[in-house]
Amino acid sequence: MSENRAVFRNEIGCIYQDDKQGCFVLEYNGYKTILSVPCFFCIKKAVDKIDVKAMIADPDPASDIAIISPHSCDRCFVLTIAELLSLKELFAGAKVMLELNSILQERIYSSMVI
Amino acid sequence: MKDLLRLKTSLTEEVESLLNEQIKMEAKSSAIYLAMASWCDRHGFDNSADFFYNQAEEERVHMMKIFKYVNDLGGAAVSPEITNVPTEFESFKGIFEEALQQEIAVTQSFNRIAAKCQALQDFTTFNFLAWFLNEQVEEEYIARRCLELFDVIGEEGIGRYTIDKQIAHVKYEA
Repeated sequence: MSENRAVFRNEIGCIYQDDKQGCFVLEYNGYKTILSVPCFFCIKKAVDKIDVKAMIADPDPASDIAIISPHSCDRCFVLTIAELLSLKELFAGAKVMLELNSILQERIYSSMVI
Repeated sequence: MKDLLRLKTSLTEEVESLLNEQIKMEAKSSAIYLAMASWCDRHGFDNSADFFYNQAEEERVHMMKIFKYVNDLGGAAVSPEITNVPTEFESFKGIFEEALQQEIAVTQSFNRIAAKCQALQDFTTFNFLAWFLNEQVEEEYIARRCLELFDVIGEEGIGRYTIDKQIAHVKYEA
């Protein structure tokens, strides 16, 4: 993992960026999953779309679990409500850090070309 | 750290999502116009049917323009799912009222996206949207003119027949 840079970490896992391969690595529940950039957004959109309030309000035990099986990702996520909230936070935090990186890159590059 | 986001796409997630919603809106407009064309065809309004067939095609062209733009910039354009397309309409005049409302909603939607692009300093997309904003002037004008024919000509007697004949001549000249 030495070549990878941590983008964002919380109590359930970490998202790294692999500059060499041009992808992200999700470390979650002891497993590592390679995520391409579109796959990263695919999972983020999938977790963001889940209505946690509706899950909590629904008395059906089946609604306590969310299953995410994103396309172009070889992993299926079976999440409890607590895990789902943590995964939402993990991806949201990583996205903020990636946007920050974009802003920094833009500032560095613009100062070089002026 | 490499900027993987910008290496993949120059669209932000927010703008990509807004453009995908617009793709859906254009597709829905196209489907509604097709339904209107069908209604007009069934009720003997030939020119109006042709007018709405053309409108349906035009909306699809608009949708494809946005669709290709999203993909050209490295984003992911989503082929939209269109449901709840009406098959029946209240009246001949009601159809043109709905068409105008539809165009106004599309203009407002483009304005909202343009405002967001300005806030995010995405001037590439803002510039791309300028074509659509200009196009909406024409679209709204034509829809409004068609509707005005109902007041100018009146629906009594051969009114609806005359309106249908005049629909074919409504054009926008800037």
